[in-house]
Amino acid sequence: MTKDQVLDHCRTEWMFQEVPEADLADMLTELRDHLEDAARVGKSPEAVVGEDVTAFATDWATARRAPGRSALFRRLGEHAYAGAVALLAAGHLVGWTARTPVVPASFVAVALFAVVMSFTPYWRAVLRWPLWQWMGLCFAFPVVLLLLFLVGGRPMLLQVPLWGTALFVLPGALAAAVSAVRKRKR
Amino acid sequence: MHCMTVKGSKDGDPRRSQLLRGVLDLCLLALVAERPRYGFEIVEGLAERGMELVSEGSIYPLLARLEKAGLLDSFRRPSESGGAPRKYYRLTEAGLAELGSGRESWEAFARAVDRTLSVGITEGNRMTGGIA
Repeated sequence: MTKDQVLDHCRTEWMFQEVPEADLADMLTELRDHLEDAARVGKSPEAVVGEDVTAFATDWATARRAPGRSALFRRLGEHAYAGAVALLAAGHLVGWTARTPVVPASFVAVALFAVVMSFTPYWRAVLRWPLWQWMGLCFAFPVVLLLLFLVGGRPMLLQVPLWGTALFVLPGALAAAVSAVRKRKR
Repeated sequence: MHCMTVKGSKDGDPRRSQLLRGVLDLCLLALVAERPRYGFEIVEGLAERGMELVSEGSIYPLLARLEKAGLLDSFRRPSESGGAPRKYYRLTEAGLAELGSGRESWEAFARAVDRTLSVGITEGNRMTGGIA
């Protein structure tokens, strides 16, 4: 592994672990300095980060970040919101209808999505998956959704009109826009 | 936790690793107490004293924890060898107190281990295995 590969690997890992940008830049600079110093005395990048770069990066990120319980609840909330938006939008698009039904399975699917996304290092795992695991996911995901909606597809709890979905998306879109503007200002 | 074994006469000796794991934080505090150092200098300091880490980067998670606990503080300044500014670590008041109490604990522990290990093995025990 070269110095640049190690840095890229760590950057990716820290980004997916949601290490704040300022911390990420600081850690990358510190690691780059160390790798360069080590190379000057003839040491390989492996002598610095060990054989398992992911474990090294995860350890460091955990030590720097240490998310509290409030951060976990916030993440659960964000994922549940994103899942609900996706489900409503998909309902309108797939059915090509102005009113999409909400059934018990909708709540279960959103809760499942929020839990899985919040408690698993999903991006890291998915991005490094071999092809057969990708294919497995592509097959298993629709099957789980189909089963879920076959079991929990009745009774219809409510019908959400298109403007209701738009209204539901609005706070998230505003928050994302504000965050993007703040980031640009920084 | 990421591996932080030491190189030595027996590469990756598990006992040596376990021992180091228990005191590496104190060693880092002691090295930084001597003078502010950046990561690579800390590793060099450990190596000069016979503790060459197999994965040098394993000090960074530990440094982050010590900094988060308020035992260390960091700042940037150009290194003595020149070049871009480096992140130096220095001891805080809390770190100094922690180092003091850690040293006392270690000395008491090392004395107890010395006393235990220096017990002679009797002839009878050597012949029979000694333990019922």
